[in-house]
Amino acid sequence: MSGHQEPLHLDVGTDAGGRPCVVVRGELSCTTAPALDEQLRALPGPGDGVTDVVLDLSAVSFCDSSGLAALISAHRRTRRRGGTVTLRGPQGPMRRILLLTGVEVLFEIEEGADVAEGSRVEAAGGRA
Amino acid sequence: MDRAAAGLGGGAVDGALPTRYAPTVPASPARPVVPAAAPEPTLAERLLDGITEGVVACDEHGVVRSANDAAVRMLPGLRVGELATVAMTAVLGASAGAPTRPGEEQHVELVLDDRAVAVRRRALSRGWIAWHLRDVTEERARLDGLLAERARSRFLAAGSRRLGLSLHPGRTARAVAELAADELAEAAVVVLPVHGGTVDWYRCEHDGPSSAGQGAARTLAGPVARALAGLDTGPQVLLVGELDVEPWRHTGAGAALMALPGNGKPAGVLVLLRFDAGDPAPPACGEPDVALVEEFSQRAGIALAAASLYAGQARTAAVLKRSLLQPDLPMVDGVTVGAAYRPAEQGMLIGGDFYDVHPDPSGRGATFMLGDVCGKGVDAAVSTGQLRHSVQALRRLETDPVRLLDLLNDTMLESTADDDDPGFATVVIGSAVPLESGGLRLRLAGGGHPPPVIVRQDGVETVEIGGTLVGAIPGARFRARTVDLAPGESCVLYTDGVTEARGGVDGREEYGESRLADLLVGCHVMPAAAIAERVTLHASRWNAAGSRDDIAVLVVQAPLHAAPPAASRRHLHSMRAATPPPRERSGSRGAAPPREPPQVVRAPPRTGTARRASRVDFPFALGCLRQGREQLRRGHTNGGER
Repeated sequence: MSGHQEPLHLDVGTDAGGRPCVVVRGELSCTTAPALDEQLRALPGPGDGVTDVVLDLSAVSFCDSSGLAALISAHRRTRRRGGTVTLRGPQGPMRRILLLTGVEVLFEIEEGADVAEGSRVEAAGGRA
Repeated sequence: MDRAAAGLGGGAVDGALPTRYAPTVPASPARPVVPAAAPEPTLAERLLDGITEGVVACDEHGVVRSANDAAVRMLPGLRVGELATVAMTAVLGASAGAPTRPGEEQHVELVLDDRAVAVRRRALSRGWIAWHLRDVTEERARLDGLLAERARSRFLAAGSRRLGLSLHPGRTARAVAELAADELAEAAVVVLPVHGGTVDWYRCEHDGPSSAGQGAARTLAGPVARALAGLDTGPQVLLVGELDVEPWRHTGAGAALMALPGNGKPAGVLVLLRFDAGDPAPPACGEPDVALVEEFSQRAGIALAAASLYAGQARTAAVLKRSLLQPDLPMVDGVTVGAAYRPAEQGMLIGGDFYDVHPDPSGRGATFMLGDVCGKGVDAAVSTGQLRHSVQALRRLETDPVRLLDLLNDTMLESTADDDDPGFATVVIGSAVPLESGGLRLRLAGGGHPPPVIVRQDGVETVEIGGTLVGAIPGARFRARTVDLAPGESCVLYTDGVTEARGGVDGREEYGESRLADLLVGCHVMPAAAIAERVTLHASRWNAAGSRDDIAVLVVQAPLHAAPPAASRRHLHSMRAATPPPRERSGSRGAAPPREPPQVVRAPPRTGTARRASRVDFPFALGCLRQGREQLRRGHTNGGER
């Protein structure tokens, strides 16, 4: 089933503004989305004085409903503590599904395809 | 050996050892020689007396010429110097086939006074014979014990294998009865636990025939009822008086029963019947077999308990699954519907895609929907069930698709806690109302779902509805489009399993909306169900890496038989759009667009619609089919190039 699927790669760090930032590469599908969800739940929370989350999606080549579910879960958690989820540079299918489903209103969308460079400065580790 | 054996014969052999008795060759075998006073035993004799093997030497006339202590112990009638007669005949007298040439041997095993004795007969020189007797009773007992143990292990292993084959309580009980009847008794009965005042039983005879039946729990013999209730767990005896009813009716006297241990309470009772009237003792609960019966009962109990547990779970799953299966499509007056469904998990028949069609209470027209909840498999199927039931209830209050989506959105948001995974869905809900003129008026409301495709006589159109996911955003806005269908034309709703099917040359290319549109060109001549099947088939075939996502297709078609009006028969409020229409971010929620005016807004006749579809015009239909095939071929070719 996943024979043709790109593996998911997550880099976790902080961006220039000190917000936790997850750089996502690959495909977000029912097999890979749980890893993203788990990672997003493990990010620093309000207890650490952090409310916002940045997700760099410029290298996401595919996203299905499970991937959306992970994003919406993150939105609900950050909203509860008064923060926002910022999506950076969604391209192609990722952008299309955000528009088609209308969930882009939930997120701050930052354009720019190459922001992945900036947010990788303090990358702390990766998951496959 | 020859030399030593011959030496036992005394002076008959040169240089031989002296013998215990002065051996005299008798003049005739009929006249036994009376032994003289016993001389001192020689060293060889003392040595022979010290071994556990009996050694006897007879001369060519059958007279015993020498015997050591062990031989005399084993054969009490043996006398040296006498003919080996009465006591010996049984052992030594059988000379048929006896070895005659020196060095030849013969082996026999005999039972002497309950002792097993292995006899080796050896021919010596000049017709003398040596007998070597070895007591092998303990050896045989050990061997028999080993073989029996092996047989028991084999029986238990075969039993476990057989019992593991089935998770059906009845078949497992029958297997227990058959195994027990094969090895443990003349007949065996398995009684399953009381269920609704009755018990099921299975009986099997040693020679094969088996039977099964039901009995009233209150007529069970006391020991059986007590064992079933878990009061007696060890082996019990059934008395003769208790054995005159089915299923343990039999002519013998012996019967024993054993509870089969289960989860907390017995999984059944095993009754072992022995027809041997002379054996009043319980057959298998005699000395050595109790352990075997107990061991077997444990295994049988585990198998029965597992089967019963599985049957309960399978029943629960089947009942739940029945409510989640895709519905049979209803017959709706004035509307033709067809659907196809292919869940990602083959064999489950349930998944995250769903469709439903509800006829309007008025009898004309219907509400229909198709959607995809987040996720796959059983979890998603449960969500689809909840969503479908919500819509079924909500449509009694609200028939307008947009307001229906509003209600559904609120309902779904309320039913998921913030911490839960968001249970959202993409949905198209529509209403279909037959027009006086023969066609259908569809009002389609969307919640973030791939755009439906309208199959016209002269091509296909995509209806971009937009709207947001249902169940994800509080106060989400939904919108609706109105589409009129002429007789024979169809509206095709599909889930993203179709357009996102991966295939092509590298197995990664999506099927896409344009291929779907190409596939549907010319399909207006096909019945609704055939269109749905065609879309599903092509998307599945495109899918090179096997089933990746659920696929559902629902086709709503205006029936052909109604006569179309003479003038232009439809009006499309929503034309093909390359990109989704701009979203309105302001505006009060719930302010749904007003309902469409009841009469058709007249539009100028479109080009290419000159042909009428009141009756299927065969040359035209064939032309359309051909066109469709070409489109299809081009679609696949394009796919390869892209």
